[in-house]
Amino acid sequence: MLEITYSVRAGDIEHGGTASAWLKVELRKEGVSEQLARRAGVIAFEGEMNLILYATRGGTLHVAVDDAYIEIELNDDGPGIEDLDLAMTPGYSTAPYWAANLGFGAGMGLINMERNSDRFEISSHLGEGTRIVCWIDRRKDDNST
Amino acid sequence: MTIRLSDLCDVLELEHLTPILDLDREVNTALVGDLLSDVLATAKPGDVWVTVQRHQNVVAVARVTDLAAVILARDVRPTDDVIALAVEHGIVLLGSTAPAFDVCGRLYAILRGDAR
Amino acid sequence: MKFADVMELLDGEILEGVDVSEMIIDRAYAADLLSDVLALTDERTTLITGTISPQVIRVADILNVIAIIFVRGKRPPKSVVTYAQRVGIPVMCTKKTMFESCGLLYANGVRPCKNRPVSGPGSGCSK
Repeated sequence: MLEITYSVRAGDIEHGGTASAWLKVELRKEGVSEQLARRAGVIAFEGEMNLILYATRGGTLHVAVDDAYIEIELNDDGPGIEDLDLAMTPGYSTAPYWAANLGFGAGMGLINMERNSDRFEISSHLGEGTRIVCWIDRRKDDNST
Repeated sequence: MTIRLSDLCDVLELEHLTPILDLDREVNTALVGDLLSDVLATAKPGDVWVTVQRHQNVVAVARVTDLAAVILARDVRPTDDVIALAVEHGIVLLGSTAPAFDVCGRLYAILRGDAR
Repeated sequence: MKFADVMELLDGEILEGVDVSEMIIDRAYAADLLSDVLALTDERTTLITGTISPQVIRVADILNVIAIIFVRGKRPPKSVVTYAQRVGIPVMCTKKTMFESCGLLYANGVRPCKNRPVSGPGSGCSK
């Protein structure tokens, strides 16, 4: 069992991705396969960067691991996503120009998260915030992502 | 060596996403990348630009730098409104299923005059 | 091809002290956008990029990228190079464009890595 919560600060581009890179190492220590640690790393990275770039006050990245699942949960308290279908469209991005020039804003963040999850849930309300939960099934560890 | 866009389409198996536009422009150089500032800084008129960006800004950048065409790599698909904007401004959009590295490798060989 | 040969081909400069000249570079991926890099499925790939933010190294680390080539004459800040060193990823700089770098590597037998399509099934030539 492993359970970690990271606080992610809004706008902290400089440290963006730190938690995810560290998470991957922690998961490997926990006996998670390279393949699954990599998938978890991708999910966490996209989630972490979303909190940094878009969440008004940042948010939390919570990871829980047991024998069956790796659960990655992201929470923030605003601004919320107006149109989830649109946000889940490949290439759709609201990243500002400066962020695009740092390599962000491909419009693939949520999609990369979903693709690397065995189960993916997202809920969002304007003015309240966004909650994303991703599960990776460790029992389906067949080395194919 | 230069190559006409229509021939490029055949050789690289590109899909013409703006079929109403002509493919008769000749190209002799290309650039690849997804950072708009870099493209604005280095693109020359008549270049082909390989990218996975599919935002409306792509059309704006292509207009400003007078590119011959934009090749969207890795099967990224622009939305209908981006295609409409490209058509409106005469910007040819071509689609490839291959990743940018592959498109560039083959395009480089063609433009350098190597065997196809 | 060997890392040392890549350096010569691209007229590059290695920014990090580890001797990896014998490392074999046989697959590459060219991208500036991090999410695009994160769509990679193949491991043991070399990343060619013009993005020099610290996130590039973090992403490369998560994906087990074996080496990074920074193009367009971009030089990552020292902190970024140090981070790459710490996680054991060799980094090289070249003044060549991304297009030329890809073209030269491809011409010398480096091949694209596998990745998954972004949307829908593939489509061939249609006019």
